[in-house]
Amino acid sequence: MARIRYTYNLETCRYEPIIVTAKTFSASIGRFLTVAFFIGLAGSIYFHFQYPFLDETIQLEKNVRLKAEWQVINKQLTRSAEQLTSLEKNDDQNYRVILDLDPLSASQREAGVGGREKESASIPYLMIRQGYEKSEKIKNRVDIEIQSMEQLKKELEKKQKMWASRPAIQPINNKDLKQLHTIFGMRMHPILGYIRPHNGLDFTAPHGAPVYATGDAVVMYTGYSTYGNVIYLDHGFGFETRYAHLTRYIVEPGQVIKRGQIIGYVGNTGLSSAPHLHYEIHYKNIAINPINFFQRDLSNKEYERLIELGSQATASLD
Amino acid sequence: MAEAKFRYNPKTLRYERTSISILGLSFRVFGYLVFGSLFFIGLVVLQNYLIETPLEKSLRAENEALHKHKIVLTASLLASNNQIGELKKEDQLLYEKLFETKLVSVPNLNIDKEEILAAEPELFSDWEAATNKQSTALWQKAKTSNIVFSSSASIGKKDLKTLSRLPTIAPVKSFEFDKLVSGFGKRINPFHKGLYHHDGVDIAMPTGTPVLASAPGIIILARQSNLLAGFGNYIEIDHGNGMITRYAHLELLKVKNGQKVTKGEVIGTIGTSGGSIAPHLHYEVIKKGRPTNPVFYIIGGLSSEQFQAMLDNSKKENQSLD
Repeated sequence: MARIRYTYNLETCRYEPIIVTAKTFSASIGRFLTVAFFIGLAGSIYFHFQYPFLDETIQLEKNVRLKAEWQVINKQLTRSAEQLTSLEKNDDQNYRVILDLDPLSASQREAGVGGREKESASIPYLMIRQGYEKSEKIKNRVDIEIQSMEQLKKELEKKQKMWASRPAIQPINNKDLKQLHTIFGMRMHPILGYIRPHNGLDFTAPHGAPVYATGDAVVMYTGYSTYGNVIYLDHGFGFETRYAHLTRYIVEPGQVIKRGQIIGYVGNTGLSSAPHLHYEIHYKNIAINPINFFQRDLSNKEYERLIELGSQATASLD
Repeated sequence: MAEAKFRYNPKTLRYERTSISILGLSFRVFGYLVFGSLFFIGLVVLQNYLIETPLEKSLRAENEALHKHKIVLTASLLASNNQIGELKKEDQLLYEKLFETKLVSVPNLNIDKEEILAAEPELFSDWEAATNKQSTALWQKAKTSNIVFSSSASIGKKDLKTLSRLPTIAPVKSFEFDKLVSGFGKRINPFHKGLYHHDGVDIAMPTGTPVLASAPGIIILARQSNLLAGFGNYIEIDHGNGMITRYAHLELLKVKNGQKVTKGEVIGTIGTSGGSIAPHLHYEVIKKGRPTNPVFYIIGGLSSEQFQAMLDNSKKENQSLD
């Protein structure tokens, strides 16, 4: 039941029912919307004077977030640079000192900085420019450190070859060694009976005891002389070792030898009065005392481990 | 102004003025608010859309640049970091080859906040109790030793002289604790790679670095040697009281046999003479005829942390340089 509403008509002095037509209805809606519109307009004007533009706020927020992200990038760049600095420090102050190379100067390490700088120099934002500058510096330093590392690796390989070829162990196992004659230089020859230089050391050992190469080398010569059966090994870097009075040798000229490898056996050939090994070291064609080129206090266990390494090398070469 | 409205009341048979109910009023206000705010939002958005302020413009440009270059820079940073990672691996490999020992990597001390938060609080209380106990014990100890020392700590002139003759400084100029690369004890020989007893410490510094007398004394040996084995150019100093120090593999000798030297005097320069694979000083301290670990004497100019680091480093069974 619709409740009928009335208005009092002053002219007719009667209560007349209000009839809702489409026209009156839309008029009242229009009135309502107009009021609402003005409320909204007033609000928006107030908002405009009180607060910044919405887009500004959005962009500002975005800006803050991006800048925070850039700060993180900046921190990461700094951290990378620090890591690089520690690598460079290791390189310059440890490896280059030990490998006897000159440390790279600051100008060498910074070489090439500025090449691509111009490209990023047109960017009007300091933060971005600085980021690019840092990144470029890091890139250049990394490139230089890679080159430096290559050089160090090559140098180390060269040096390791040198260290491996240096005569550094006894040619006779302590187990077989009966006596070590340490006379180097002038002495009375036991067979010839007159004084003549003795250019090496004599290791008295049983007949047939193995003789080990004292460093990595290439066999230079094998043959027979007044020293009996001899082997000459060329170690490179100016070093040469000679092994004499052997009963037999099991290597041939040109063969590559590892330290600790058996090259022959102790004998009594040539001008010798008892089975022993005569061992010489020549450096730049001058005989030097071999006594300094092996550790006499090296334990037998260690020695055997070393010659074991030599025998493994032979096995892999065969 | 709306006209007054009436309603017909069938009970009283009269027209009655309708009063405005609270419900109706609030319904109307609510309607105005809803539509008003709709208009408000619409207007603000429209305004926003139509007008671009200079600030907005510049911010927009900056944001675009930040975003674009962020992607580029992040990519190049990633590439650089990968390369640095590779370099680190190579660095480690090089170290292992040079010293025949594993490089001990320093643990990462940057504990994440999450990790700390995840830790059990009981754990912390345990720590606290343990630390308290320890600190109390230390305090007791300190008190006792304080009493002991104060009763006996009267250093005589003679003792002072003995103390001053101890080799308490590092035997090279501008020594840093990480320059001591190989310590005293069983070490790997660089030539034949066998273990042997290393009677001193190796201090790796560039060729030409001045070598100092670590205590006053008399040069009892200054020998030149071209032999590519042994100690090479070599100095021995007698400090009295059965103390002898040895300096080997020198490049140049700057003292003669029998010469008196003072503490810190330059006696030679670092080199790689004799059986050495790198420029370094082989330094030995002989006490009453027996080689002792020189690390315990090198205390001058080092903080306790640096000394500890040097000590730890010297304990590694790595390769010596001679």
